[in-house]
Parts: sequence; structure tokens; C-alpha cells
Amino acid sequence: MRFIHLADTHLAAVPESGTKLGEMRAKEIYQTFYKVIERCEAEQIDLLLIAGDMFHRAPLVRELKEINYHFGKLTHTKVVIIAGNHDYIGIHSNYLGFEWAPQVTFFYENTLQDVYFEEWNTRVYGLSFRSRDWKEAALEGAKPQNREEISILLAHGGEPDKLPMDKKALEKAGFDYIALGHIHTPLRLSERIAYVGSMEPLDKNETGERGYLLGEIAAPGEVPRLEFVPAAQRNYQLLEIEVTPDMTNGAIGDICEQQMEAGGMEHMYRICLRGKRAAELVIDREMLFSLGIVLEVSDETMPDFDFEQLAKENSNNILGMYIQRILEEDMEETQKRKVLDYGVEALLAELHRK
Amino acid sequence: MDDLEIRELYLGHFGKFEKKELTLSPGINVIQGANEAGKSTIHSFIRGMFFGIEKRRGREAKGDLYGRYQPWETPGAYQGSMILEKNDTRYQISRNFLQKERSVSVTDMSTGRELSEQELLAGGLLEHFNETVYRNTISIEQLKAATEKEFAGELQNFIANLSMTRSNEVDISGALQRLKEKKKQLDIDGLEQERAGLAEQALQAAQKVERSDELTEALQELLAEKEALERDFAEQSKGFLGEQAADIGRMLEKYQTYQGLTRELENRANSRKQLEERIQKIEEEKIDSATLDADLKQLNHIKEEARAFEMSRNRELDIEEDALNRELKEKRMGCIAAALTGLIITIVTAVLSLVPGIAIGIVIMLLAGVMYLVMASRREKKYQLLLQKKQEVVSEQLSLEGRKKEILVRNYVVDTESLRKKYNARVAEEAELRQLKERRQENEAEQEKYLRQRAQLRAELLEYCRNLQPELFDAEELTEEGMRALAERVNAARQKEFAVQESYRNAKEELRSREEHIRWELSTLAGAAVQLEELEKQKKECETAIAELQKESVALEFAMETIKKLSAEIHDSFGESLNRSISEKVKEITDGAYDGIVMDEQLTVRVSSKNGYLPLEKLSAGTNCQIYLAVRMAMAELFFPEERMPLLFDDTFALYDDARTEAALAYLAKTGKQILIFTCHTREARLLNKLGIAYELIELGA
Repeated sequence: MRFIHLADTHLAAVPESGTKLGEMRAKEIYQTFYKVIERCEAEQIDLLLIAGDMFHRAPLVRELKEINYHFGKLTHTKVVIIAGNHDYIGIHSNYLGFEWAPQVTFFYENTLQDVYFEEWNTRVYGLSFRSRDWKEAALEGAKPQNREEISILLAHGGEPDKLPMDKKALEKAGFDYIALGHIHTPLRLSERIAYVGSMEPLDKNETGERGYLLGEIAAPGEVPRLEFVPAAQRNYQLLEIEVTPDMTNGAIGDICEQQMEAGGMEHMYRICLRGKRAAELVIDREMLFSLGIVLEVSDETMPDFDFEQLAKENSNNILGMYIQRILEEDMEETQKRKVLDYGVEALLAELHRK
Repeated sequence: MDDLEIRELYLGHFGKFEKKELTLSPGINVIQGANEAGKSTIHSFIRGMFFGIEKRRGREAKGDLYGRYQPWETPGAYQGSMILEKNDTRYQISRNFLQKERSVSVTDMSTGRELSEQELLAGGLLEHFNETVYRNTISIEQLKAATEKEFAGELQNFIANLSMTRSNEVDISGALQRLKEKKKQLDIDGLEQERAGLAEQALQAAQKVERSDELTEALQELLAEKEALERDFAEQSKGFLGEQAADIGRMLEKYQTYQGLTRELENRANSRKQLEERIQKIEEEKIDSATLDADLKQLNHIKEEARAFEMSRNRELDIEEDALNRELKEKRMGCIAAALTGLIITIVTAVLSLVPGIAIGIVIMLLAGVMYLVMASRREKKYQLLLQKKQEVVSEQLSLEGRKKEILVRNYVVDTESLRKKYNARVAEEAELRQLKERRQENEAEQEKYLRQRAQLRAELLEYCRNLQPELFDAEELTEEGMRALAERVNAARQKEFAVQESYRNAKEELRSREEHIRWELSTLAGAAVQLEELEKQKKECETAIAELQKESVALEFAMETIKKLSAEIHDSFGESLNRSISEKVKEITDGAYDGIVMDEQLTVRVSSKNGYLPLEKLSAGTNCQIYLAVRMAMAELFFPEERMPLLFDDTFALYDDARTEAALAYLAKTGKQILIFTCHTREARLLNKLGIAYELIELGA
């Protein structure tokens, strides 16, 4: 039985909202989602499991109709969906009363429900969020009804106030696979439990690959074979550039550009400059922003002062004394470095050599 | 006390000089030459010999001496040597300045041994001696100031800086200003405001979310209330008479109808009785109209006959008679005519003697005569017949009359008219009878119907009443009072039901409007949760940024504080001695015109004189020059308390007037140090001559 485990698609979210990029991202999220469904159809995948937070917020009826249309085109795949803490089924929720296509099973309750698919001898269990927070351990004691079936548990959460789960207990409960959602980083907790992570990254801290899990369970009791499929159109990536005192702005820019081209210009970068820069160099941050999709430039470089030399040359005056004094101070290294840099920079600037 | 003097200079390849040798004496040396003669070159050479010439990078490339003095003609050769004498031992320092071949060697000329650079610097030849110190002590440049006032200001800063930084090169107030500026540029306040704004918005969003939750709860409660209301009402409704009670009106109508029917039936009974009586009465009369009609017809017939006889027959007869008569007449005529004819014929023929004709004529007369006889007998017969017929008519008429009478008598009437009346009456009666019978039949049918209806109504009413109030209708009576009482009871119940329904409707309406209200408000709050998440994220980012900036701010603050502290320390330790030393020298150099200087907390320098304390700007440039000199001398002493170092003056006396120059020169001579005066004037030499002070003159050609 072949399945796709998907979660935290956050349809209707607008990452980097307020920017042109944000508008594109919102569209790309939908595109990727539809691509996954297309793959299900193309390869006749048996089950599409969506482990919660399909929508970023309570969905509108027209939004449900759109995705339901796509689900309705599937000729073989069956879809099972649960609601997460973002699209929880509140009293207003348009999930209630919505008529899904016959391929779709939606678990509305916050108690364990299940659906059996005879064609694959597979029973999918699941439960949905009916409020933003969920402090009860509603999965305590959950176990499959029949070991002769392939049993899959579909759940969202795993945090103290978002459906706490005793993962060790669940591991032993007897489910062939536990498909989790909520954590946006793909994480295989054990042979049988995995967080698939978000389908597209939603926040600049969500660096790394994002996508879905393609899985196969040959028979009841077999360990699931999982393959992570990167699907995101764009990733967030962190570029750490080591600056040396001989580099100019142009050089730094070139290095960044090279790395961005190597990594892929479509991705969204955060540039972090480290190391030592020439003392008088003023880093041109604007230029760096213009090299590609750069969301953030942080300059952690230190000016290249040779404090020892300076101290020696100025041992008799305030500059030398300053350096000595600060070096002797008991404070955290980076802070000490900052104090040194600032003081020396200022004093040197006012050092009138004749 | 160590004594250090420069003995010889050998510029191998330096600036414009090639293989230039200079010998310097102890005491005063005046190196004289016009501008561009090379004074600065030699000065820099001396420095270079002490410290080397590094190709300066970055900011310091501005004063790059390397490039400046790298010989144009022979850039590949860049070297020289200097011979120093320290405490009677001569040392030769040789340097190759060329970057690639940079080298330095120091040789002890008495032993020929080469010293390592460490030996030189550490505890050796040039302890504590670095370029900065050199510039602060030995190498005395002019204060660059255009006007007197600026000069005073420069001097003031010079002294202040010196007391604070132990260096005449670091402008401490400038440094502090820079740090202050940088600190100001950290727009922490701006970010703070932003953060506060975001916090405010987040709070509002949180409130919205809270409100949303409240409303959701309220909505759930309200829906429960609605359910309860419905349930209650359903319960209450069960006991309602409801539709049944609404029927009471109809039922009352029905009852009215019922009563109406009952009355009707009574009436009908009455009229049926009447009807029956009438029918009976009519039927009593045995004679039917048909008979009468027949009789009438007969009478008519008779009358007709009579008349017919009377008129037509008689007339007929008369006519016949007439006709007969006429006929007779005619016939007679005819016969006559015939006879005549015959006669004629006879005559004629006779005349003519036509026997046949006479025969014919006679025949004809005979014929005519026979015919007449025949005719007459026939006529007679006919006439007898006619008379008989007339007789018959009369007897017939009599018989008819008799018959008529018989009929009339039979019917107890006197004449036809009465019979006719009787007949009409009877016809009418018979018609009436038929009608009555029809009506009777109809009535019976209707009666059936009414009875059925009534029975049905009764059944319905009983049924209805039993359902409503079984106890009331144990008795099978439908009475006026009973019904009225029932109606009253029903109405009362109905009123109550209406009241309940009214209150239900009102309650339902209230709930509905509340629900609408809540749902509307909820819809306006939609999206608050997402907004809140976003705002929280932004706020956190802002806070992180603020924390970063604050760290920077703290660092800057610390830097500033440290600098201030250090300068205070310097001021306290070094500054004191500096001021004392300066004061001494001021007194000396100005020949007692000024006692010394004092510096207050603001580091403002005042010179004390007989006329009190004067700020530097109140003094003339010349005096300030002297004070400057005093400061430099004090510095040299303070930095090298144990050593006597040479002093290099680079065009320093330019602003001095002669008198002051003299005084300065005299002072300098008194110190006994080796003095190198670089000048483009001849004044110094002249004045030295005047003062009778021995000096070495080195003239630099063009």
C-alpha cells in the first residue's frame, strides 16, 4: 500500500506578508499542493494523508470548494484529512457541513475515528482539533483494533498544550505508521513515527528542504519504507560568509552571488557576514540585498585592528592604555570585542598624525 | 642619566639625496636651507632611521612617507645609516627601506658587534622609545594655526589632550564625540516605539482573540438556550389543543349548522305533512284529466261535427242542391239546346230533305230528350239523396246534441266552458300532484341527505367534543349550553396557548437577534488569531533587534566611560606633573613674566601672571609659542626623565619675534641637550651669533 504523508500545508498563508515575494509565496503554496495531488493521480498512489493545518486559518467555503474540486478528480487515491490547531473546527468552521468529494474522508471529532479501506486492508485512524489549544492527552490508550489490518494513525500536535502525546507509548501501541503534523521540520522520530514537516517553508527560520513523505507498507506489521520528497518551490537558506581584511565590498558581493547561484537563485537567503574586515571598510548592505532574494543581512564582522601592535605603539598614551584596560576587563568576549572596536576606532580616528 | 645624541647621518639613497653625509655636533645644530631644500627630508630620514619606514596602508596611507621619500631616480635603492652616540658608545644604525629588501642592522661601533633589534628596544638603546613617543617628545613640529586665536585654541587643546591622553596626538573630545554620535545613531528609541506599537497592536489582536473566544462560548451557550427553548416549547405544545382548538370555531359553526339542520328537518316534516295531505286530497278525486280531456275533445268534436254539419254539410247540401239545380238547369239548357239543335237540324234537314239528317236531328232530339229524362231522374235520385242527407244531418245533429248533453251531465257541468274549467282545474291539479309527488320524492331524498348530514355532523361533533373534553360528553347530548361551555373552556385554553406561543416567539426572536449579533461580531473578528501570530513574530524580531542595539549601546557607553576614566586617571597622575613641569619651564622661558599654568576641571588652561590668571586666548601668539615650547620641553622631560634626548625643531620659531627667539635659543642652549633646528631663515643663526652661543651650521644647498 503506497501513501503520501503531507502536513502543515498552511494554504491561504502569506509568508513575508506585505511584500511582492509574499504574494508569490502564497500562490506557490497552492501550486505545490496541487502538484502533490497531481502526483497522486499520475502514480495512482493509494492514500493521501493530510496531518492537519491544511489551512493556515479557518477556511472559506470557496477555498474548500477549490481544493475539493482537485480532490474530486482523483480516480484511485483516497484522501484522509484532519484539522490542526490553525484550522481547528470551531463553531463557525466551514469544514462543518461541507460536502467533500467521495474520495475524501474528513475526521471531524476530537475523539479517535477511523475509516477502513477494504481494497488495501488499511484502516486509518485520526482525530481533529476543535479548539485552538488542546491540553488533554486524547491519544492515551489509543491502539489499533485489528492487527491483521494495516493501521495508520493520523494526528496533529505533540506539544503540552497542543495535544500532548506520549510518543514512546504510541510507538508500542501497534500502529504500523503514525503520521504526524505540527512541527514544520521533517523529523523521523522512530521507525514508525514521523513528522513530515511543512510542505513549503513559511518563515525565514525554516531553513532546509521541505516537502512530503512518500511511503509504502507492504503488509500489516511491516516497517514502513519512507522517502522524503523535497517539494518546495523555494527554500530559506542561510549564507555564512567568512570575511577577511583583504576583501572589498565587491569581493564580498561576488562571493555571495556565487554561493547564491550555486544554491539556486530562486531561494530566499539570509546573509550572515563573519570574520574580520578591513578596519575602514563600510559594508555595503544595500548592494547585498540587491543580489537576489535576500531577506536579511547581518554584519557580525569585526574591524581588523591589530590590538597588540597598537597597544605597543601607544603604550604611553590613552590609546594604548585603553586597549590594555579593556583587555583586562572581565566581560563576555563578543562584548569585549565590541568595546575595543568602538573605542579604538574612535581614538584612532582622532589620532592626528603629522 | 643617559645621554643620547645623533652624530652622523648618511643618506645613501633617500628622497633627493644620494650619498649625502651630515655630521652633527652636540649642542645646537642649525640646519638651514630654503623651502624644498630637503629639511623635511632629513628630518624624516632621522625618524626613518629610528623606526623604519613602513609602507602605510589604509587610512594611514595618507601620510605615506615611504612613497614620498622613495628616491625618484633610484627607486630600487632606498637606504641610509645613522650613527648615534649613547653614553659615549657609538652605534651605527643601517637601514634598507626598500620594502622587498627591508633590513636594519645596528652595530656597536666600539666592539663591531651587531645588536638585535630586541636588544635595541628592550632595555637597550631605545627603551620606551617608539614612534609615538618620538613624535610627542623629540620631534617638535609647529602648531599649525593660521591666526592667533586659532593658535591659542590649538594650544589649549594640545595641553588638555596631553593631560588627558598623555599624547599630543589624540583628540579625546573628538573621540568621545564620535562615540556619542554613534550611540545616537542607534535608533533604539525608534525601535522601542515600533515595538511598543506592535505590542499595542498585539494586545488589541489578543483582545480580539479573547473576545472571539468569549463570543464563541456565548454562542454555544446561546445555542444551548435555543435548544432548551425549543424542547420546552415542544413539551408544552404537547398539551395544546392546537389545531383541534382552532376548530372550535368551525365546530361551533357546525353545531349551528347541525341545529339548523335539525330545525330544517322539523320544518320539512311539517311541510311534508302538508304535502301528503294535499296529495291525498288530490288523489281522492278519482277522475283524471285524461278522461275529462277525452270528454272535452269529444265535446269539441261534437261541436265541430255539429258545426261541420251545420255549416258545411248543409251548405254542401245547399250547394249541392244549387249545383244540382244549376246542373239541371244547365243540363236542361243543354238538352234544350241539344233538342233545339236537333230540331234545327231536323228542320234544316227536313227542309233540306236530308233524311239522314233528319234522322240525326231526330235522334239528337231524342237523345236530348232521353238525356233530360235521365238527367231528371238522376237528379231526382240525387235530390232524394240530398233530402235524405239533409235528414240525416238533422238526425245526426240531434244525436250529437244528445251526446253532448250526456257528457256534460256525466261531468256534472252545464256547459262546455265549465267542463273546460273543470278540465283545466283537473289538469292543474294533476300537474300539481305530479309536482307534489316529485317534491315528495325530492324531499325524501333531501331528507335522507339531511339526515345523513346531520348524523355525520353529530358524529363529528361528538367525536370532537369527546376528544376535547371526554368527561363533558359522557352524556350523548349536544346541547346549546354544553357547546357554549365547551367553547368557553376551549377559548380560555386557547388564550393560554396563544400567550405561551407569544412568549415563545418573543423569546425565539430575542435569541435569534442575539445570535445574529454574536455571529456578526465574530465575523468582524475573524483572522484575529492569524494577525496575532504575525504581530507576535514581528514583535519578537523587534525585541531581538532592540537587544542587539542595546548591546551596542552598552559597548559604546562602556567605551566612553573607560576613555573618560582613563583620561581622568592620566590627568590625575600625569597631568599634575605635566602642569608643574610646564609651569617651571614657562617661568624660565618667559623669564619670569609668567609664573606658570593652571588647568581647571574643564581642562581650560590659564597662565598665571602678576595680573592674575589669563586664558591662553588673551595672550599674544608669541607668548603662546613660548608656552608651547615650555610644554614640549616638559613633555620630553616627563617621558624621558632619566635620559637626555636630542630635540628636533622643525621651523618652530617661525612665529616668534626676535626677542622671544633669543630667549628661546638661550633657554635651549642652557639645557645642554643636542638641539637640531631646521629652519629656512637665517635669523636663528644670526641670533645665536648675537648671543654668543656656539652652534653648528649646516647649510643645505638647493
